[in-house]
Amino acid sequence: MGIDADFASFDFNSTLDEIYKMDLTPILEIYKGYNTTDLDELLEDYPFLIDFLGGNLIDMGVGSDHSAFTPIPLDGLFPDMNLSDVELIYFGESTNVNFTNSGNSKVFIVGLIPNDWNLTNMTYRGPVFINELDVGSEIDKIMEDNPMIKILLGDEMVSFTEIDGFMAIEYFSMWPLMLLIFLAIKTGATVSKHVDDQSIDILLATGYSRFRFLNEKMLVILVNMVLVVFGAWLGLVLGVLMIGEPVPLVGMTYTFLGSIPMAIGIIGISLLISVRVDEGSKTTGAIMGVTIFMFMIQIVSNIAGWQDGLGYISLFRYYNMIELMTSHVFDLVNIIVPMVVGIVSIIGAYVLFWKKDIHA
Amino acid sequence: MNPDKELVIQTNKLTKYYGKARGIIDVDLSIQKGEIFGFLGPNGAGKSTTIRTILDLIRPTSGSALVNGMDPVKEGAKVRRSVGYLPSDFGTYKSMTAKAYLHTLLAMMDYKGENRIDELSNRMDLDLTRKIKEFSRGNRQKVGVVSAFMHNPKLAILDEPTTGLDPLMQQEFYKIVLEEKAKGNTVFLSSHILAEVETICDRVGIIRRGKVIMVEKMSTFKKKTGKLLNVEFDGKVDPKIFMDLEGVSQVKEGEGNVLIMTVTSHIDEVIKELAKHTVVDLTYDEVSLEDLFLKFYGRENITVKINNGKGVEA
Repeated sequence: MGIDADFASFDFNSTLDEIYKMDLTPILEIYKGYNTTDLDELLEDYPFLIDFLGGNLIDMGVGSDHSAFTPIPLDGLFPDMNLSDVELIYFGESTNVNFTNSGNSKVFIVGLIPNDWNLTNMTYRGPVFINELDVGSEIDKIMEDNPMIKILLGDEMVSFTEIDGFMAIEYFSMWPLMLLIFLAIKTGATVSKHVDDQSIDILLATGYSRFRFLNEKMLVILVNMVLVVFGAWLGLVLGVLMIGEPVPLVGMTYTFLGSIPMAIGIIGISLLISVRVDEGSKTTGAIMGVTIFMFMIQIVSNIAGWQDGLGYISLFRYYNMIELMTSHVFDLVNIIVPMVVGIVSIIGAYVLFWKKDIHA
Repeated sequence: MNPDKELVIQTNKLTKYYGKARGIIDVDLSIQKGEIFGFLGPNGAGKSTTIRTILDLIRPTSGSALVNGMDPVKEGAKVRRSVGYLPSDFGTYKSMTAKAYLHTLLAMMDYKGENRIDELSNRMDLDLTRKIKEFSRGNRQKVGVVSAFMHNPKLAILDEPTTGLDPLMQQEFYKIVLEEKAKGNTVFLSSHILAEVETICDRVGIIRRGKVIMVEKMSTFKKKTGKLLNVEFDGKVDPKIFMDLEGVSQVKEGEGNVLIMTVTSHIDEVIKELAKHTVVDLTYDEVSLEDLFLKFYGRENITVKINNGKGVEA
């Protein structure tokens, strides 16, 4: 799997004059792995990379107003850092730029260097593109060899040319949204559906207590959740087997299991809304609104750097698919926060339903 | 509230407000074992709110209730399981056949005894093999009637049970209710049709604007309400002739040579007096709820129909 491309296009905010005034400012590109790369195509194939690039890529149109740039080894330029494998391939300001790969590059990053030229404060703006690497070992080695890359990348690193990287982008980027919308709609109908079609009277008239009614509804939703998660996992395993790729079973299992706390969270929120707003269309609207709002908050937070602020209110924040897929580790915070949200909301829904006047 | 073994439903100042809006206010009812109690009131009077509160579908603002000796707030599920309940409007699982639906309800009730689904369906002329979504409003109501009695409840609470039933089925329904009484079971039914309540009920309670304004034995109630005799003569007739007759409580002059009188008893004497005159036309009707309220409670706060039937406060 690879990217068939012949150039990269960038737009950076600083003017060339500004860059020169800042001495060595703002662009560092490390490109390895391909002879040529079309960033435009790359972004079309992997839209989630736009999150990484932030607002610095404005025009990815085809064309060039700069001639090809020969990579310049940076080794020795910064004595405190090991830059033996790092090459500067473009430095300046432009809408489009062509550059020539040195031929053996494996990693591609864009970085904005601060005015004081302190690389430890450098802002990461680039995609990572690693060809045919074993994510678990070779990236670690590259990181060890090149601390700057680690600074630039942080933990957000995955190979897009491996099946797990492909899944992270093509599949798991949509999985949380699909799962939460499904569960939100399913849970939203729990009470409102029966009030709407007036069947709740008959159900309760059979001697069901309010608790039993909600308990059994919750059980159905939880079974649905397990079936959907397991079904999606199984479908993906079979899909990967069918295309003849090795199945990253552990990573996939972690990734699916890791979505359960977030699912519990949305179930709780949806149940609370369903009990409070018991009119079918209004309930669905409210729940969908909350779900999409949280999704948008997550996207905006990523772009605007609000992850440590507004980003906390989005359930999507607590699902790190790349970390689950590659590191095989459950983050305790990502489990506890959505679970607490879910359980507190469920308890709230029970209390509300206990007090509720049932109007069929 | 102390439970009374002879009372299957007791309410004590049962009150429900929806925010500031009135639901029911200080409703006191005592329904005796083995009676058919009619709960009469115009639309919006609070009949359904009362029923839903005593079944714990609505939580009271204040006051209390006992149904079969149980507090609905504490034992709502048990209370509901102990009765046969027919809501005024109810939803069903429309993709099911009537038979599957009714058996599902029995299973949910965990009812193991002999059921009356077939017997009641035959009597109500209900085709159990058809899907509920194919049913008319009347047929769906039949399903509700069957579901209320199929598990032999000692107490049936029926909210406007004859809605949508044709006259023949209404008669069959009345028979079923009277049979329940004969078995010693209790039926509490709400209605806004005076004639229906008069036909089958032992006692009647009238609710208006959330307050129970009267509870009477049906015999007493009938004496009080009477019927409206509307007679058109071929010439002017003095109303005083009829006012002096026993059993005539009220005589009014209508348009033309028409006299409208309320007859509570001794209709024979009225007919004999009518025979002395030339009668052009005659009707003998039930008193409407509106007329009843006008008669007993005056015009204060009475809703009258004007402006093409749009109710306004008079």
